[in-house]
Amino acid sequence: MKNDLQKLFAPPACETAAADYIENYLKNKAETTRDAMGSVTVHIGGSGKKLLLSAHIDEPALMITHIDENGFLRFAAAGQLNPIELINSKVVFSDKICGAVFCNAEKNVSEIKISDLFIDINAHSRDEAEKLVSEGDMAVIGGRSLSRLCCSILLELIDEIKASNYDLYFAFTVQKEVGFRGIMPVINSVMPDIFIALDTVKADDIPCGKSEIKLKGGAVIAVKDGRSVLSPSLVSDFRETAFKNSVSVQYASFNEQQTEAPTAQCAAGGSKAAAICVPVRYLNTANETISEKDIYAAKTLIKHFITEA
Amino acid sequence: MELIEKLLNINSVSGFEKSANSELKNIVGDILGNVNEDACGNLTGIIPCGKNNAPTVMLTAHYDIIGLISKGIHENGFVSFAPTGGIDSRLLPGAEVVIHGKTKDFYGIIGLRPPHILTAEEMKKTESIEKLLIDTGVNNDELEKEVPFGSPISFRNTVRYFGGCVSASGLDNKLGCYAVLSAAKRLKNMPLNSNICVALTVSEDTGRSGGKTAAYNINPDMALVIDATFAKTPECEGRTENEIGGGPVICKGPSLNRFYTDKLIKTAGSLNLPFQIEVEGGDNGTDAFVIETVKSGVPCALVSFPLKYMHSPVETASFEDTEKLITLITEFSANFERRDFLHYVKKTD
Repeated sequence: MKNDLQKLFAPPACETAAADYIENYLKNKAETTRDAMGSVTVHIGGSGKKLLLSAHIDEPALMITHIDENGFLRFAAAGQLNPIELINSKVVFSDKICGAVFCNAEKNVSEIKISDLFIDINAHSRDEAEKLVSEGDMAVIGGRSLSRLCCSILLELIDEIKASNYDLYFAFTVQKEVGFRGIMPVINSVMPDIFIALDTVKADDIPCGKSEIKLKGGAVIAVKDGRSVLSPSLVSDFRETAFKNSVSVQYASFNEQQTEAPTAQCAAGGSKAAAICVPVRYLNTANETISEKDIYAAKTLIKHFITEA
Repeated sequence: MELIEKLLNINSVSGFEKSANSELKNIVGDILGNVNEDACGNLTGIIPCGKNNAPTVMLTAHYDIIGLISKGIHENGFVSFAPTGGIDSRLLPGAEVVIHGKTKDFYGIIGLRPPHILTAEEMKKTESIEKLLIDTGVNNDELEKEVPFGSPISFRNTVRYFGGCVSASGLDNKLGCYAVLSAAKRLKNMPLNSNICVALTVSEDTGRSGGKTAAYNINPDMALVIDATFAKTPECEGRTENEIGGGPVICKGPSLNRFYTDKLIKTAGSLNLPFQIEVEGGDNGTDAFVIETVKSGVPCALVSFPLKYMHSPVETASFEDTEKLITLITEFSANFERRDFLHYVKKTD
């Protein structure tokens, strides 16, 4: 795991630090391009069909909408954030200014909304707060996010793959958290035949949890994502690859779109799309928990797929 | 004042803009000297700067308006309908509408049973849009012939001026079109470093397909989107609404390009123009959100005018704000320089 990558500051639309890291890492290894939105694409090459693998480099953020007269900040969520999980979280702005999220509403827990929360950055008036931050500034949770976990996997794959049956492209995309946006221009430029999204997904195998996805249950193969059924032939290819190489996998069907696969499926001229996910407990909180076993499973599954299928 | 009234009187119900095209095309053609209509109905015109390899700025506003669409004809000249765009059905009773038939228009009103004969319970409720009917007073034979299923219906427009403000239906976003065209008039007589492409787009209120397709055809280096945003009224308790008279509203958000947004703020600062900032955490609800992901990505900035009572027949905006908005977008476009984004890739055609 490339830990430095997880510590970078990269809220949606401010991913420059993460994109720079990736370009720097790939310097002398492969040629990279960055598009107008900021996504980094790498063409590895090879013969065969065009295969694009993608992982996003942004992370959910809190965006200041209003600074009140006592120096407290109100915010909107840029990304999928659960207001209850945000309470009492430490948040960090771009220039290391820290704050914490609190809630003072007299409400039932289930009724608490983002608009009931505020950030305290230890400023005691609007003037004092405006010296540190301004409206539109973004903060990330805890200063460390596993959102870029899958970028690390892709970087390792780039290092390890020597030959494949495909014309290989890798993309490190921006603005996934605000509506799977960064992937669209990448698809328009690369126009792949096959697209594989690599992403993190919530493992809800906790008391009163709702999902079937388990931490340490192996790589997650998505069969359906939101309203899109992902390519059944790719799903069965992955199933076979996993079986042949004894990679532990689990299957999932998402009611809400979780990955870039549905977006890529119908962008430009269309592509066969699949999504492989790594389960994360307490996703998008300061206490994200992962298992090395799942990361290894996801990586080996994709590696075998690229080199064998 | 003439231009704004002309624009407001053009009937361009979202999805049915074709009927407005010839009129609007003439207006755009007169101002820019050239005009092009694409397959969707977007109208574009170019102000060339005459320099080689110059970047292109897309200056855009949507010209469709919210309206209604006919669903059926009932006895005695009543017409049922559905919304096109974000209609607030609470504001429909009492509205005057125009049904656009095959060869002629029909005047109609939306009425309700009087309060005297309603129960206390009924008084508290808003009638749902399915139950409302348009009373045309026209005999059914004529309606059957002239108003087929799916005919566009617009609000009868009365333009009023008061307190430095203009009030009418469809200011969202005819006032944006007015600002773009007024800026174009000024830009035509200015020395430019970039080509300015004016795009008046369709279907923003019903799925935002116009802005996306216009940007695809133009493939600009940057898009500046002009639209309406919420203005504060006395009953508003929201913290983030903007003030009428406070100047144009520059939007910040993750779906907008930070560099060009900052450039707008700096431009306003250098002109000593009052302006306001609003923040949208996710979708900013305008064409800017869909234009950004067109082709290999189009950096977008969004600047709006504060509008009271949005999506009602009495939308209200201030001339002072509009004037400042025009100055801001003119100055921004005139001084546009392409920023070489790090590893800026040549766009694919």
